[in-house]
Amino acid sequence: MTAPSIPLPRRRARLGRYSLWQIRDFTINTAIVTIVLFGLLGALFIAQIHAQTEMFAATHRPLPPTLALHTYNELLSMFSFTAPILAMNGILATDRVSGYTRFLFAKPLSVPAYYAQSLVVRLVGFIAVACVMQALWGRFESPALSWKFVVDMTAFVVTIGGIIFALSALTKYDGLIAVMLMLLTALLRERWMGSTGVLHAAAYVFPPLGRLNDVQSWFIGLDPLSDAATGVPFPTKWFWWNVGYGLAAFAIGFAILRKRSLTKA
Amino acid sequence: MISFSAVSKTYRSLLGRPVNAVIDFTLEIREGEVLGLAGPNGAGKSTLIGLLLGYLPPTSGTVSIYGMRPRAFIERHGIGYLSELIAIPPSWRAEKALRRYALLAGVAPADVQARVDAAIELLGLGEHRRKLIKQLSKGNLQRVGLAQALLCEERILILDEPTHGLDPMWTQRFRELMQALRRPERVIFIASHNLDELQRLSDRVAIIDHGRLQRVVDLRQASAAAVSAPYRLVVGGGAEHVTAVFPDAVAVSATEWDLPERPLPALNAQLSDLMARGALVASLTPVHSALEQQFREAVAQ
Repeated sequence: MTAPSIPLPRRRARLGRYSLWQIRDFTINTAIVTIVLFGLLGALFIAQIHAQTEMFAATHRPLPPTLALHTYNELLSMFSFTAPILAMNGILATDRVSGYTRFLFAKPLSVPAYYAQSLVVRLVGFIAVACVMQALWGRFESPALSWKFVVDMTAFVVTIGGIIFALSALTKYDGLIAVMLMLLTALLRERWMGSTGVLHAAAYVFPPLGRLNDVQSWFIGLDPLSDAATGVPFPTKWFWWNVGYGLAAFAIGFAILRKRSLTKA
Repeated sequence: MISFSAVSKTYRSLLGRPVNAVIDFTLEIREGEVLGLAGPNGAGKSTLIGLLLGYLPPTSGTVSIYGMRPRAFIERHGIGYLSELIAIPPSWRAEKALRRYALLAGVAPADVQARVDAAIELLGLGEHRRKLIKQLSKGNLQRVGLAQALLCEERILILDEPTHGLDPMWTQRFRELMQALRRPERVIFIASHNLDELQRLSDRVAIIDHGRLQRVVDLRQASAAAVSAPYRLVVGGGAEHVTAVFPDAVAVSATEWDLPERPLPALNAQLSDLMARGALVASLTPVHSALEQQFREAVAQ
């Protein structure tokens, strides 16, 4: 090894300070779009609840006590399964495919550290956006914002976010493939679970995404079986199954990131 | 300090067919040196730069910078890199892009603005600093790319096609900048198709073709190589004497001739004879530069 003629000073990227730029990017590229989109959707759902209320009042029938919660549950499901995709889509692939990695990683910067920070910004950013939405919806027809909501959203974003992160390390079609995987999960997992042999084993490849609805029911307090707003126990097994799947997917994503070239060939 | 040791890089096509981008490449680059890298399209230049930056892992062999793997070196010390493709998000503004890169280059937040201002001044980007990246012309974008590479006093500069898109004025300014950037401890690595540029800027030029290092031309010792080259002679008067003195001269125009290769003493003697007959020699230049000639030979092999 040849020693440098003049000692080389060690430098470190100011990654903590750079997080302000990452927050700004998330706000402009994702948060505003998500708030506008689901704000409008929320308005439609709330209008629907009001229309139903008026219809029942006009026909002098009593309003079913869980009707508003069911409608709200639909809105929240839509948000919970879609918004994490918007938040995480392209987290790794965009930089690699667009060539932004070239200048970024010529700086004294660890690749995993950079993307770990980007990931944290997006995860926290998603939960912040979700809280803003819930604070808005909560003013009308839904449960109020609470710590339970944060737990619910964490389960969704870690599970779906993890899948997208791992896919993003592999392909630029991360969001699209994640949607396809979610559809396949919905179609095949429960069916294959009921079979035997290879199909039963293959069912475990898919995360029990449908069971995230149990976490949502726990937050809303709506028991889907009895159709009663009587409170639902926390689905510990399914929460950790999904969150564990998401965390494993993050680990796989980072492992791929370390092995893969940083630019297109 | 930069060492390529028997480096090879093989890609696999979609059908699994191996494509050898770099084959058994060995080269040492020393401190204080400006090394040029020349080669035709698809010769393996970009792959070599990817290997040097640690963006691509070699299939075999080792690349090291001061004995460290490239990624380990860059993560500790950084490197000044201008890529051939200037890829910066189009929605960023030029100045803000440089502020971001300065933070990532390790500049203290309190010093960022001063460094960015200095880089903008150096590259003449004052009137473009608030423009979006997508609004910049190719030349201005190239200067933003160069500015981000020069935000810190980097020990190693890697410049891929640095004058691509620059107008003649900025090409000249770039040459002056390269002279100013020379340091006894700095390595400057320039990849370019432009042999004239490499001839002006480099100490040595590595010529690569089909992934193999064909030859390394030391331009500090290359002046003699130009002697046996064909020359172009331009006369300002007495043109009628040229063919008498140089019977093998090939007329290019009424005042220009190409002279085939000949030994330097013979050339000088014939020129003296020509001038003694009353001809006015306006210029005598090699038809091909020494580097161009070496390049042609290397690629022809």
